[in-house]
Amino acid sequence: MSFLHLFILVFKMKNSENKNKIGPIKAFILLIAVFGIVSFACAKKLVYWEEASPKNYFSNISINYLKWAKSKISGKSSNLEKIPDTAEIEKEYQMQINQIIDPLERKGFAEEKIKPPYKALIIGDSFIVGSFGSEMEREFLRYKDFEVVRFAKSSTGLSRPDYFDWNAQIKDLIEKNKPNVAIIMFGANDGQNIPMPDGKGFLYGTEQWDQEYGKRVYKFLKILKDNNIFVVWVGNPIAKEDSYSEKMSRLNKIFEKESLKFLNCKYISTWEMLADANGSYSDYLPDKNNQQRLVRASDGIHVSAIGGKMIAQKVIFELSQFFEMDLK
Amino acid sequence: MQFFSFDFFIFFLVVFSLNWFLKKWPLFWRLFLLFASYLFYSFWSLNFVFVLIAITVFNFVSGEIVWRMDKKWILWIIVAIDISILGIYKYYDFFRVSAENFLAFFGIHANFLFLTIIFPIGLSFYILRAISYNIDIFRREIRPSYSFLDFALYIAFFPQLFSGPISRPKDFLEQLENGDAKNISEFHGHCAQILSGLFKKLVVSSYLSIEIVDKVFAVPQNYNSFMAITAVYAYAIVIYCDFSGYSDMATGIAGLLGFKSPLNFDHPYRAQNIQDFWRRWHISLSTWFRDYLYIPLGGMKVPNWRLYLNIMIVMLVSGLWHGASSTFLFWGFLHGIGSIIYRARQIRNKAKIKIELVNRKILAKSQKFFSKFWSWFATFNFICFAWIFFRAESIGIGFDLISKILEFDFSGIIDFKWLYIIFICLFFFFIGEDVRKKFLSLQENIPFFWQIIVGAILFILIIMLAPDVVPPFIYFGF
Repeated sequence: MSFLHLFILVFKMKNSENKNKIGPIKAFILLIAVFGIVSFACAKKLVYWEEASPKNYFSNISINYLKWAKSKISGKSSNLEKIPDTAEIEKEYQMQINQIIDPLERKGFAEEKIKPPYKALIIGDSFIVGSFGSEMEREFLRYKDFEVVRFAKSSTGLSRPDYFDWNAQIKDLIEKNKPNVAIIMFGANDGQNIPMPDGKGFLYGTEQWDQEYGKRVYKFLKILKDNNIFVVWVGNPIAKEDSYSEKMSRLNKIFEKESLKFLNCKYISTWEMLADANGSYSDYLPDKNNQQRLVRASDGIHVSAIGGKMIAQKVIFELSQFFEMDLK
Repeated sequence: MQFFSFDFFIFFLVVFSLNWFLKKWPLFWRLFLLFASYLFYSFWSLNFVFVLIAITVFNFVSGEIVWRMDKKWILWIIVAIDISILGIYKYYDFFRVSAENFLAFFGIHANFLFLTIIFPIGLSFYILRAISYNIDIFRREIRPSYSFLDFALYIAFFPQLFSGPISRPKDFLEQLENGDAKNISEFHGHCAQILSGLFKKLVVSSYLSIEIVDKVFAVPQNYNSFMAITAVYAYAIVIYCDFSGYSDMATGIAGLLGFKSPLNFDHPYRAQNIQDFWRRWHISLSTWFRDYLYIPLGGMKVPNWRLYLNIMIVMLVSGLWHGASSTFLFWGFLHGIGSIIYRARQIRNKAKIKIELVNRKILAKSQKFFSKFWSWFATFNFICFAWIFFRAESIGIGFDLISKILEFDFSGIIDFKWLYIIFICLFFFFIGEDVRKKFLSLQENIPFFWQIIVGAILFILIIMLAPDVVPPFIYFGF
């Protein structure tokens, strides 16, 4: 039966006598027709939702179907054209590919502390939306001369500017808030293929991917450097699932490598801090009294309030080398 | 798998069609529904399914024992075991940490046994269903289920598994026995309920959560008094839309499969007093506590001081049921205080009832309106105040928020958009039912083709208005 026949059949169907009751077949046709229309009309958003949520057998079917629906409706995603090109920094990036700031120069930088007043910008993904971000914001407010702005968006990162363009966002945030220190955490959603305007993109796990991602981190840090903003880049902690942990470890290496190229940037590793004595993942860790406390969220990726506070305190400790940190 | 994910749509379409197809064969129908429920639960964790099966087997056997032995102490042991299961999974770590912190306050650094426990989602809900089954058998209100399959389905029925409504054994098991309906009754009503639930959750609750509530409640001291007060009212809307949105979806989904669910919300923010609020909010839980805790404690047939104590016990237990945290306990305490004050006033006014009756006749219409308005206003604000501690990460942060409001600091950003949104939502709490009825009569009277188009347009609008990231249901954490 063609779509046209089905269309005519559906159009001809009349309401039954009892309007409150409806037969299962008619109900099924109605439900499947509604879902069909909705899946085509909202394919793009539904794909994002599906990709961000935990996977099961049905989600694989959904994602494949929705991607197919998306391709039928819009063809090539128009957002891909909006992806900022990294070609403009290609030359500069290649020149500095293995360059790091001299440790002596870094030491000299730390000797003269940045003068107050301070305005801190906390930005990033769901880590910043959640416990770490709020604990960091709270921690800053305990100190004199600090103003804090937190801006975060879950399910975002530097891999998919077609979804959310952090480069454009950071420029806007700098202009609006004029910060002089930024706390940044990205990566949780970035272990995926990078699409490019030409439609080819970079496959996750390849060296080309690492280089492209490195360029994006570099470009992001450069914007901050050009605006005289001191940056603390917070690395991702170990995760419960090994394959996810591997992804985070790979990204952390890129963050650290790129951070070392900037005098105004300090990379902080949270990996060891949130691993147990054997270097493995643990939901609980001993506190200063050796009492076990929950430091991770139930998803095995994010942190609990206590875990968030641990990272925030480490950030403050590192900042105290560069800023005048006096408690209120 | 969330109710609002596309994979759930696919899952549901499969279950929906097979559910109605298999109804001719009761055994296969039950087996299929049970399999679908366990499969649904296994998407969260396969380990959770084993916990669910263990609890089901235990309570099925215990129901038979309670029926045959008919001894109160046996019932006590069974209920104690069920509560202990919930206690270990949900509260062990809370009590361990609280005890360690309490002792540390006196300089004693104790290290109690530490267990890594993952809380099975929905346990708080299905354990209550299991307990009510045993108590109802003991009270001879029901007979133990002859069919393990029926009982297992009562505990695990997937639309109600994670966050209720907490159906009673009699109502659910009867529906299974009479599950031979060939047509879906109130089909459009159930679809409208699902759409209304999706709108409440995906649009209202998610938007207000992300844009204002989460930010202000995390660090209240970084916002002005206007934002703090707005966040409090916004949270009242968030928690209602989130949970009643879930209940609407669960009820609608169960309805499409041919099952009736108990009413869970009845316009709670229209309540005229705190007692009225509890008759309208999370009704399946509050009636559970009424029937299985408040009445066994003596109900209203006790001296006044016992009555007040019982009210406080029920409210504290209700608070603690929501989560292992001092904030929930404090929220329960506030509701306890509110209910006791209301009850004491009621008892005092009983003496004056005759005078009041006369007054009522004399009172002018406008006076009646103002008196009603005042009761609503005071109740609503008290409920919103108590919600502060329900949402705050700690009691300290809750008080930070209150002190921020009392600072009357109106410097910085004042965005009236939030107030408009809150007023629109409150307005809808009063007229929402009429809108739904109008929509239903429209949907039932248009041709089938247009029913599809209207349904699809509404669905598309909801998805388009929803934020890019939808937070999980609040009550999934309880």
